[in-house]
Amino acid sequence: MLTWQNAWVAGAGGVYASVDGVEWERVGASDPKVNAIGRQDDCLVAGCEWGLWQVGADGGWVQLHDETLTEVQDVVIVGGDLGAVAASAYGVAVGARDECGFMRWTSLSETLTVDRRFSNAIVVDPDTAGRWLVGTEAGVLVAQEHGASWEVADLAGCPVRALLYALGAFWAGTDARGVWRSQDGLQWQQAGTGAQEATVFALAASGERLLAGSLEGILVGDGQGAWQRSGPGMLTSALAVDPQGQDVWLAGASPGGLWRTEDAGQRWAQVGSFSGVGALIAPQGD
Amino acid sequence: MDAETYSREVEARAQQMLKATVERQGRLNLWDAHALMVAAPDQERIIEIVRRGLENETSGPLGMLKAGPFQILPAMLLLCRWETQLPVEAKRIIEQFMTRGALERGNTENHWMMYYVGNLLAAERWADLQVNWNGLPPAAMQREASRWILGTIERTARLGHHEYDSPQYHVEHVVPLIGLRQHTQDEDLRRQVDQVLTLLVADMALEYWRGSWAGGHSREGYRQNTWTRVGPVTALQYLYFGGEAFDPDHHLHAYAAPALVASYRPPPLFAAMAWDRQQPHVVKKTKAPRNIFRHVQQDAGPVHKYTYMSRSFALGSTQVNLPGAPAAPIDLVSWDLTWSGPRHQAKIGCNHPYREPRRFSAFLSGLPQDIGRGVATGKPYLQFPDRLFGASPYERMMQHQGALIVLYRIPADDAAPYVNLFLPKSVAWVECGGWLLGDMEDFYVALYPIGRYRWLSIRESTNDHVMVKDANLVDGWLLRLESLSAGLALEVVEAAEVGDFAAFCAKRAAQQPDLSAWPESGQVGLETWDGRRLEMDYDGSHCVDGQAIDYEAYPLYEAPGVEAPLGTGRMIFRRAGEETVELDFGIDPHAPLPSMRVIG
Repeated sequence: MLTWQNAWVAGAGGVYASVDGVEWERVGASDPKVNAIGRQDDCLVAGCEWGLWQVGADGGWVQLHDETLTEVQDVVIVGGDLGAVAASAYGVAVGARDECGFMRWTSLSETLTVDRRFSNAIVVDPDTAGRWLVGTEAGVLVAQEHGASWEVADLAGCPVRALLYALGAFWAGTDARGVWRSQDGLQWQQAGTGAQEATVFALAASGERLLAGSLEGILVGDGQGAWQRSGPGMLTSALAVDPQGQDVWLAGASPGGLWRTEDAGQRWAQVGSFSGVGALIAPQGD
Repeated sequence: MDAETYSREVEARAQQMLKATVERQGRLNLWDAHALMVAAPDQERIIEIVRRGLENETSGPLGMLKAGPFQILPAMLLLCRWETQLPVEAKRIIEQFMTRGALERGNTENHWMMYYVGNLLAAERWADLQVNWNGLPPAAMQREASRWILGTIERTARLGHHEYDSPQYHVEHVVPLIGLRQHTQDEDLRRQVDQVLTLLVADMALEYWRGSWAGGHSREGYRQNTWTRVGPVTALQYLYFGGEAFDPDHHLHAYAAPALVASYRPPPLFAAMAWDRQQPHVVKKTKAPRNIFRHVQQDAGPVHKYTYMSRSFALGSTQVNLPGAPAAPIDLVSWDLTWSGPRHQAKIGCNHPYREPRRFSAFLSGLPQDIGRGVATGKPYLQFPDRLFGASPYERMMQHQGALIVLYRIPADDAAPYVNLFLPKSVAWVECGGWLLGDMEDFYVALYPIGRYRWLSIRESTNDHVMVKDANLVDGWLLRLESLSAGLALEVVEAAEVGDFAAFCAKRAAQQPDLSAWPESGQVGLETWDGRRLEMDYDGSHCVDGQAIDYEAYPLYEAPGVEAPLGTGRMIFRRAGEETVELDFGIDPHAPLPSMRVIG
């Protein structure tokens, strides 16, 4: 039986689910362009061009946004009634329920400059509650105390389109400046060699390996040595790794559809009938 | 004209338009099905229209009805207006769609206006539902929609309309508000809607030029900005301003049909304002900043429009106040010269056809690396080298009455290192001393292209994917100003004021624009026929007779009989013999502005 815990999920024109990553089925009736997916208990949260939605296992979509939240690029689940933090073209916003129980959103980015507002990616600091790293069009910003204040990281002056916490460090994918690594989110160093000018839209970890979805396809490395090209040359905008079998990866391209490998990138095969895929998540591990 | 007489005239035109809609060949849709409802409707035909409009697309494994703002609004207006006459099956489909469908919000201001008005009316109507189409109780949508609509009205009253003065999209602001005014249960909302409708009609009237909307527009794309009658707004212009013979080809548009069966009537003085062009005058407007959400360091500034309404022509220009490359709204038209005449034959305009793909991602959220191809695959004309509309970050201009200077500083590596200037073929052009001069009988025009140019022809058709035959989209002269420092000086004068055309040519040819500091110092001067001196510094001041123009001092509206200071939410429109219109939106000018989350 398909549950959100054991499902691969893809965000494209709508939300799609799969047990094996090969056969895909649309979930529910709505089909907005989905840029990000978060998993929350028995629900998904889908960040879309027209807002933020909770997607139930029964296929029902429940609106989470209000009239101030749209063009959602990324979403993280932070638990509690706050639920989610959304990164959008208009900045970072947090939600809270009003007196009637309906979600209202508060932008934390109104005082920022234009490129610092546009937020592509967000990741929670696992060590400090209420500390989030945000990849913006102007670089990495760090929100302290649930967005009460902002710090500017030294990875600045270029768009940051992907963020990841893995292997004990933060990782950032940039426009034309490759992958960067940081321990504290504020000071960054370029990660790996051979792809210093790559544009990176997605990041994932597979065991000790890092995967980077770039403008020219998938890059595989360990964050220190040389990056290796893998698979078809395409704008790779989403990546997911099977936690059960570390050699099973999915890569979503926009355009280019969905691709799958079972042998850590030796052979890739197109699956599903997607034109573009903007978000992927893997089944939850044990 | 008294309100009763005006209302009767509007009603007569509405009936004329409804009758012609039914008689016109072609299938009716959710918008103009109102015309059928006025006559004795064929029940099956109405059901077929509703079914075709709402059931033609389903989504997902559940087969739910799926559509966006262009279905949501007309479906609800049809239901609200004709509730007792609509066939039961048509009402069932609309209810199913509005309460159980998959509804899309879109991303432009007109999309959101249609979406929220339709959903607000639905939430009021089916308020007792446990769960609405979006998984929430109707009260949630009712509150959300009210907040957005009221917030947008407040922004419009304080800053000026966002998706301003668009011949294509103005109707999609006016018609939803007309429907909301008539059908909402919220009296406070109705009062604000009624007031903002007055502003939107004032926008139409102040720059109305005998069937055209003169001057600058936030959006006048689709390769139609060389037309004199553009977009669905022509239907509203005829309905509310009348003044000319009914022509179904120009005055009918489905999107305006709900207004034909509504009780709304604007204040009568706007029809008189729209047609009175005897006394030349200037119209100034402030409009909301363009929404640019990336690739720049600062927000855009307020838009300032200046339009000179003369007896025989209108010349309008815009200070767009963009924050720099690559911000350049794709449908924007910054200036034009308009007079009476057929399509392509009575417009002059120029632009730099800026093609940088990041101009799309400056206001669309798709990846910049893909968006150029992504957008242009669906709308290839947005990247045409001959494009005549769309903003450029390298364009600057100044205007004083009938005189205009437009300057460009295009980077050497720009994909379009030139400027396109459109001239109609209806004019027998004269070249003298670098000026191109045209005799339009009632007025004369003189253009001085700055930089060398080539004289080309432009012909484009609606169905030009195989061959251009009738050139129904664009047909005229295209002067390609092949210079990175191209520009244009232009002067238009009433013939009665300068004598014969030969005298005008001689006088104008004797005095060329002062280009001694262009492009090196960025300054151009122009002396007008009556001795005024315009001095324009490309990124500096704009002076008339040595006095700098203070754009920041522009009110919300300035025109004869209009008092509308910026940021106050208070306006007065006066005209001799007409009832004065006073608006007060009850705004706290110090309160934070509601967010604007749409493009336009």
